[in-house]
Amino acid sequence: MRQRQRRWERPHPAFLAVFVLLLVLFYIPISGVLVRGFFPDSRFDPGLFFDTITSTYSLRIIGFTFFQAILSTLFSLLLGIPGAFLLSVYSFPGKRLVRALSGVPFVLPPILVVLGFVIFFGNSGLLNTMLMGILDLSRPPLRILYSLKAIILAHGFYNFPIALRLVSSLWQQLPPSQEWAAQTLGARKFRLFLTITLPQLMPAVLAASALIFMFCFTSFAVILVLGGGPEFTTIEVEIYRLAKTSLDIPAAGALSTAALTITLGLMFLYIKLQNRLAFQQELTVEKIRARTFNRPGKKGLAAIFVYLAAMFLIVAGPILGVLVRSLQKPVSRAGEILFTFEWYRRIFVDTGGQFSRIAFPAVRNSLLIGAAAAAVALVIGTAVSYVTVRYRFRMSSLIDTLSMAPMSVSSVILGLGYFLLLRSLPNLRSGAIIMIVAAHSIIAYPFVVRTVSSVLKKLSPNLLYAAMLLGAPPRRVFRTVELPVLLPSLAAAAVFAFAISLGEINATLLFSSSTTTIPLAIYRMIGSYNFFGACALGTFLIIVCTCVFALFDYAGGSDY
Amino acid sequence: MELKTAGLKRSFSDFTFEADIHALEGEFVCLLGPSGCGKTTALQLIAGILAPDRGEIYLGDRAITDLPPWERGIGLVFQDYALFPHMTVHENIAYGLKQQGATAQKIRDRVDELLSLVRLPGYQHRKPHQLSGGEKQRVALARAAAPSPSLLLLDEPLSALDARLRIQLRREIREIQRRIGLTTLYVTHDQEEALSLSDRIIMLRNGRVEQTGTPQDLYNSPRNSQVAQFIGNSNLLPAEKEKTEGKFFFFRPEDTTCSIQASDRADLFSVQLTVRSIEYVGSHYIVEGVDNGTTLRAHLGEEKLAGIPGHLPGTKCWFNVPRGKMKVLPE
Repeated sequence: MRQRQRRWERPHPAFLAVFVLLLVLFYIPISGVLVRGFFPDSRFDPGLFFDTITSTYSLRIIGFTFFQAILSTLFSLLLGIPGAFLLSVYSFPGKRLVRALSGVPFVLPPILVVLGFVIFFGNSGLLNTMLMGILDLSRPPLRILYSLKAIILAHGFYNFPIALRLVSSLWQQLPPSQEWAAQTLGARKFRLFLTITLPQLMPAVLAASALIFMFCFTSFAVILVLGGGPEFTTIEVEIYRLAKTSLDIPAAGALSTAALTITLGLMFLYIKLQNRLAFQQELTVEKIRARTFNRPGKKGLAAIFVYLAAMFLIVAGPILGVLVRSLQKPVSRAGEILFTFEWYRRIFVDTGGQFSRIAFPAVRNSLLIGAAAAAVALVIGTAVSYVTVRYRFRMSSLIDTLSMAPMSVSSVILGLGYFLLLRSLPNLRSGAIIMIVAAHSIIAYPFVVRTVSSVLKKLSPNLLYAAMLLGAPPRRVFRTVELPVLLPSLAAAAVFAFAISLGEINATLLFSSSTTTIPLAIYRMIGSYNFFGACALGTFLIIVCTCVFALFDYAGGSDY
Repeated sequence: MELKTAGLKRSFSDFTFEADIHALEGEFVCLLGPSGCGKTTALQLIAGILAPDRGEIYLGDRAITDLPPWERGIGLVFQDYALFPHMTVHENIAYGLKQQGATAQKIRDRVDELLSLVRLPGYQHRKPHQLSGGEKQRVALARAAAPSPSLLLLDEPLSALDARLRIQLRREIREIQRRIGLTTLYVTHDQEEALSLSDRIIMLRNGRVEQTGTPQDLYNSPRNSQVAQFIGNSNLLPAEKEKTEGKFFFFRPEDTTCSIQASDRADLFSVQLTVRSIEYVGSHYIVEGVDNGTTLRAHLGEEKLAGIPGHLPGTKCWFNVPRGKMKVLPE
């Protein structure tokens, strides 16, 4: 019997190297964390694990984690679904603005959201200052920060676009003929929504809720800074505190194991939901008919105006706040303020002052780490995409699972893994920057996989066969056909990975002691109340992220 | 060049392909069959995209079974066109010529020549996304033909196009094939396409050859009821009643006539059925008669239909066919 699979159809052995890399960069640090939970004194002792996770303190933290995630999810839906309604039903002039604004939170690293909130909603923030001026008050009327309110508000800001986009995209695909049919059968507006529209939107609502819940459940920077204390501590923040402050590594390991179990369970639920959504879409999108949008009436206009205003306040306010503050400098104790580019000068020119001593290397480090991490993530992500999309062999499903697992592990736990690795290998300390690159690559590569494999799936194998039959051997087919077709998405993926690395704080904060990145510098400046300098760095980050995502849109936009 | 296979076999988990394909030098052969009959497998085996479990493939005198696709010298036109999206029309057609190491001038001349052959002169600098479906298929044909392959394969090339364009393009494909005298294997599930295009048809079913022959052979003398049913319209009547060897009487609706009175002519075979529907399709009427489980159709012109008084659904009616036009077929 002749060999069924031809030589050029089998995966290149170089892919194996990538999986070894994945093993070293992800599985070794992570198993370190899990082992530490069960072997507190290099002896197997599950007692400590169970004691830790069943203690009242831990249970309270786990409970609060769920509580805030549920509240945040509901709040995000509350912000997002009305927007989805407006976008799906009406045509109005500001529609593109709503879409564009709703994309902004996606782009922002969490530390910037935190900074924006402190600047805008803080006790001496812009909103309070304005309200005090308008209403002639002597004390700030809004006290939001360092409370549950701040956490929920920030999570809502960060996540409502998910609800808005998922729900409105499904809504716009619902065939209008069903509504007409219901109307001819006598259903009125509200009944129509309740009986026809809402049931069909449920898959999107549920999927959005699951996704938002996951994000809020593993949220770190927002809780760490805006929560402001042990009263509002979640699992992730507690892991950080145990490792960094109390140095109780076994407890951190035990809590990490518990967190991992919970998130894996939630992930499983989400995948189930997602499958249902896909099924539902198949049912409803048989024939997409262009939905006709209504022109809003008086009530509609009012709703649109209110929504736009609220969105502007919540989304644009914090960002504009950061921009404004970055150009300001207090000149006297009385609060007199000067407009200046001084902070930017100190970022890019090492002026020797305290701010410059932190900011200047932070920018350099971040750009360096971002570039390196993007390169590594691109290699790993592309290889994983190829192996999962292109080749089927005996162990494929195992390889698929192993290579996508890092997606379900929170970056705080990954950071803990690297923290432990660095402690056990003291001579690696000088190489901390390499460790940051490694951690960032692991955090970023699943996004590369998502971008690249979606294009790879769409790329018809016939394209490659066509080239082969025209006389080109596989290597040349790759160079002349496959690579050029994939290039835009590879570029988009690299740029995306770069942006993720640039904004990453969770893992970096946990294990990096000597190397500062931009988010770390911002975090420290918030801690020492240098908001103006933090805003200058934040603005720099906003500008880079905006450019990067504009590039991403541009590169990903040319879709074959 | 002549294409021949010997003992070709390829098994899948739920399907086995075991058929031999033969096309003479310059012949236009259609691989015809319903979906899942193995026609695409045959094409992929010949193109080298799939490896056979056993058997040999010969192109001319050369065994090409173990050659990779890029050394076979076979042109393939895909159903989804598979034009390189990042290249212009010129670059697409030039791709195969470049692999052969042709000079820039030669490439340009050949591309221009082929573009006028497929009636798209001046399209050199367009990109695939600027082309219509029909234009894409023409470019795909030009690209496959450009390196002067010894065999041209077409995999349902017209199935993504609308009916009118399909008829126009299939005439063009046939004309181009005649002009360059290329041995061509054309895969289709459309029997009308196969009848109108082929020198010879190979009909496949369940991975095996059901019948081979000219379009006339297959239409007039189908080997069994499966072929009869697949090609053209057919009336099939279980034959047990007449104590015949075969299992089915087969005749064409266009040879069938209808009458209210039973005919006493000995050369006519007649069945009395109840008229279920009379359908007007422009060139003729389709009269459908049923009787517990049997369905027969007659294609009648206006004047013949007028000869039957009170032709309403529900009427009892005799369906007649000259015995000479009727065949007994095995299942």
